[in-house]
Amino acid sequence: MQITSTQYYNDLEGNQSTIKATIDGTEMFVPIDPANRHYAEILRQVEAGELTIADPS
Amino acid sequence: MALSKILPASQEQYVGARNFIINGGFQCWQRSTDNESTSTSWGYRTVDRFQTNKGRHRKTSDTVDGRTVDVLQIDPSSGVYHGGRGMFTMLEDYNVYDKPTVLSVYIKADAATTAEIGQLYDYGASSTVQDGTTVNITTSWQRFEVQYSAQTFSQAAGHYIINALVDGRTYYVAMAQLETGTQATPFEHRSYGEELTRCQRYYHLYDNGASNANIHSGLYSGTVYVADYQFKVSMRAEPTISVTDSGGTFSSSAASVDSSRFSFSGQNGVIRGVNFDAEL
Repeated sequence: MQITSTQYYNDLEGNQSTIKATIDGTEMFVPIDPANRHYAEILRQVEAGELTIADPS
Repeated sequence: MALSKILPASQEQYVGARNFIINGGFQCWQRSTDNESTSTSWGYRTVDRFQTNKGRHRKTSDTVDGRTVDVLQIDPSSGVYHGGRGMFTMLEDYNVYDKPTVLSVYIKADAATTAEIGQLYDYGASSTVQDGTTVNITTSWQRFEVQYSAQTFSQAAGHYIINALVDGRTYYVAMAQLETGTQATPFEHRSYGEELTRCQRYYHLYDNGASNANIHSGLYSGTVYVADYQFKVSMRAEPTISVTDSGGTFSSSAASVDSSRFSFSGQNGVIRGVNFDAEL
């Protein structure tokens, strides 16, 4: 799974709800849910030092 | 481990929900019925609930064991692969492996060739539980069978239905079944509606392409619209969301396993073409 361009996104209430990422060439919104396979892979890559997640803009 | 041609279809006295593989009949193709991928990674690209690798994968049909059924046709491509070439599926309900199980699948090719079937992988331990078995494939349909001893898993397990395909060959795969026991029983045919509902726990696509069939929204402020969308069935986990409609800026989302909220701008208050992915 190739993941790039990760950034936290806030919902309309200002809660950090998703991570916007480009995964295998497609822009996706990944929920902060450990059961979600994309989020689990983002966490793994962050912990391995292979990926960083930008703060919300 | 044994391979055999097994019970004839006439012995359909076996009833009930026996097949633990979702969409084992290859009836549901929400993403695409024809995909040619150059990616070297496994991914969900065509037939629901199955990951494929580099090559072309498409839907066709054929008469198998006396019945017209949906078939996955695979034309593998040469070059670099990530972990092989073929197809595999992952089972959320790993407790089915507490007892001996048996995998069966029908396969043929455009010429005599080989492939591996039935490798069993433990995603909790990141290790192979049982290696694949090399089988000889002919131009006629054969049903192959792989037996597994009882296993204890800590999370989802994965079956390589077919793997190690030979470049230049065309493979046809139909009616994959995993069941409890030591011998395969006739394939359990389920209705399209039943199978689609099972698949939508893991993935569904909102996209009927009609201008009057959008997900409607309300104006939140300025040019920002917000929409709430109820999933067709409860999903396995909060889904990843991607938008195929490029008419505006999809600015944020929030989801549960039952519904999702979008906010977006520049799309005149309508949105269509949304993927919800909660696959294993």
